[in-house]
Amino acid sequence: MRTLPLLRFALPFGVLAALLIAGCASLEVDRLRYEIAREHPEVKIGEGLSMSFGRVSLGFARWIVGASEDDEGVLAGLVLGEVRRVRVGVFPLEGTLDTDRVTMPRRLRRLVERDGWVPLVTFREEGEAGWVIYREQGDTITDLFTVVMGEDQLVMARVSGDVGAIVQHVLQDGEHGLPSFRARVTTDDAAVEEAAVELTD
Amino acid sequence: MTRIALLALALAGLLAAPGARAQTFDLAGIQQLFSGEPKVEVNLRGSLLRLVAEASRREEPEFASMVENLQGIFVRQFALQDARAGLADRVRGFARSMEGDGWETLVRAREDDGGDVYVYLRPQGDLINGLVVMALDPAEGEATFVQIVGRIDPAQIGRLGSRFGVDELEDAVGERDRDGG
Repeated sequence: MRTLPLLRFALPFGVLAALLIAGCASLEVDRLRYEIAREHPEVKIGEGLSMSFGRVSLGFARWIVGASEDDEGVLAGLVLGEVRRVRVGVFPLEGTLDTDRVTMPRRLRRLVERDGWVPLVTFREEGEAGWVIYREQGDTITDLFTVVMGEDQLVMARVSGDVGAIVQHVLQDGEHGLPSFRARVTTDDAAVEEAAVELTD
Repeated sequence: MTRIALLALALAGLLAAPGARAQTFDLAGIQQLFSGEPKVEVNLRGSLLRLVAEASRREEPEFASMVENLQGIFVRQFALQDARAGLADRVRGFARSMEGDGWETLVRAREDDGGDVYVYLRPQGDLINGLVVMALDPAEGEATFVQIVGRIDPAQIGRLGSRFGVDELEDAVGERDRDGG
């Protein structure tokens, strides 16, 4: 049996498939990470992970989840169908961010000032900061870019596609709700708090 | 000579401090009262407002209908340590000019800790066509400004406050209900 020639033939395709599935490193995310590290020497940002997934890798992922018959697989397929590109970065962060000094990263500011992006949410308090900006074309939100500097992680995500449709699919699924700008206290939380107060009294 | 002097006075009046002029509430003007960027900034308009409406429709259809009719929800929260001199006077000036511009006062309060709270509505028949909240909170070291543009159902004001984390709106509705207004 001629196994070796078959392997030699299949190997490049296997490597290509692995790359497509895994995605590629994202230059944009890496550059933003370096920019933030330069602007905030009081924190140390580690190597972490940055990935970029384009149409081909997302299409492959959609093909894989399409084989799933459960609800989450169906939802994943619908969501992936609306996404053109995803760039993600997660980096460990050590130290305390100086939130009095932190401002929107220059790269995000350029997108806002030059390319028509709009700030949706900005926050900076208690050692954490974050920015969410978006871009619209007509009535469609086509891009969403989130950067969050938490206590121990820097997370960045840029999604391109029909962002509104993505959110609609997730919401219609019924398992998830749109987050409010303040965490709602549930009846259970209130009961636990009340019990704790009674104990300390 | 007299005509020139009168023109000069008129020009001086136009160039006087912003608080002295009657003006519609302006978030860009608010930013100038502070040396730093806001701690919290929210800008909800257009497609995003419609998204919020769709997200709320199943559980809160009345709230969703109201959000659909809004043109924008804007929030700015600043650290008081970044405030330029005379902030409280400037904010009172904004409040006075809004009253002169036909805005109705829902709340105008001086808190025990020295903070000021102003909530203004723009009436249009039985409905409200705009809402502004200005709150200075020395205890928390924060100054909060909220502007809601568009048609607002008065019954939904408190829900707007709780959904978007604006305590002053919730408190204002509570006070109005207690006063029977």
